[in-house]
Amino acid sequence: MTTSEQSAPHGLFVYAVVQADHDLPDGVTGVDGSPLALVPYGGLGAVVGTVALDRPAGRRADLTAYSAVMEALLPGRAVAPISFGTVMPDEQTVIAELLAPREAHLSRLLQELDGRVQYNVRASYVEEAVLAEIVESDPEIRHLRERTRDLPEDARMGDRIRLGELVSQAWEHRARLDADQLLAQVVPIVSAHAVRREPGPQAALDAALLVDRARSQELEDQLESLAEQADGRMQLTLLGPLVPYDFVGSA
Amino acid sequence: MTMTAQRSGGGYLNRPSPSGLADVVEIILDKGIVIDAYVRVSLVGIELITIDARIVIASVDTYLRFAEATNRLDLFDKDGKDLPDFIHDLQDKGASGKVGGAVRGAKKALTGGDDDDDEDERPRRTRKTASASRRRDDR
Repeated sequence: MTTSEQSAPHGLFVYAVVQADHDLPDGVTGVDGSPLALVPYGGLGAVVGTVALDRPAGRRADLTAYSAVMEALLPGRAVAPISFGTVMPDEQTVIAELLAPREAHLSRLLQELDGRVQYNVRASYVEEAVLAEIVESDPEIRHLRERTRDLPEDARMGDRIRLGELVSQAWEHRARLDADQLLAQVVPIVSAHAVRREPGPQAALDAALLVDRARSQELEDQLESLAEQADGRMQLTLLGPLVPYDFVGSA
Repeated sequence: MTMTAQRSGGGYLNRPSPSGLADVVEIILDKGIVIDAYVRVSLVGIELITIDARIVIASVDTYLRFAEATNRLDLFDKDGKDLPDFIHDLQDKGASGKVGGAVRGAKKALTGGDDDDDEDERPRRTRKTASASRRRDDR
């Protein structure tokens, strides 16, 4: 427990846990432009960078710097990202509080993640297309719409609320069906998936997919095909490859 | 479309480069391994807390928003304008410089932008914005 020799208090921003033999990418710096270093412990290593503790908190640049570090680590072996904003006092603490107590768990996790990457897929709706479907398929909605559409906005408020409620429910129902259908066509390709947001009018599907690198092209092709089928009704967006942010649990 | 395009523009699948702050926030916030709080120094400041892409769907305001969006559809049109005309009108009125197509136009209508001024039809416009509904729902 030695106190810091430096005048300004510094800590270590912890980015990720990797295997100890992980080659850190050249020329990549982290938050505040500080170079990356590896804190080794057994077969594990924590990717860290120095950060002043008295600095202003949570700037936009910090998020993008963190994200850039992850992007730089991605091409190598497995990466278990540590939650953004994790700063520890020194190397001893990183070992004592992060690596040592979780050594077995983290080693197993890195083995599972090795050779796999994450994609985030979102299927958002083309609103007027879905609204049109809903109106056409539900007589009560059609009727309420006819009763309220040409009146002032504050007229027939009860009917309006009922109309909106029915539309909302119908949309939720559709979203769940769409989500199930989409997932059923990607789950056979991926090794794990995690729903990031429940299906709803915002998006039928918002999910993280963990896929073997060897199958990522297959996944992209499948999603391209699904996007074509859904065209005009849903817009599919694919982010990635990413480090497996959603598949590291909270251990 | 044999090979998937790496960026949007080629295929049907949208492939943005996740460089924007909103994308990065969406990807990384609340993700990753969480270390016990007592050894952490949180760098997540106020600036980040104000960014919240999540929309809660469960309020009268929201229902009214849906109702209005539904009523704005001109499906079996008798006398109204069709959607592209409607959007075009909005653009002509200078309501939004960002309305780039039917999709975004409809989204604008859904989220209750300042989107028309037909005083004869809708004398009072007291509709809340989507963000106001969110704040209310978050309480």
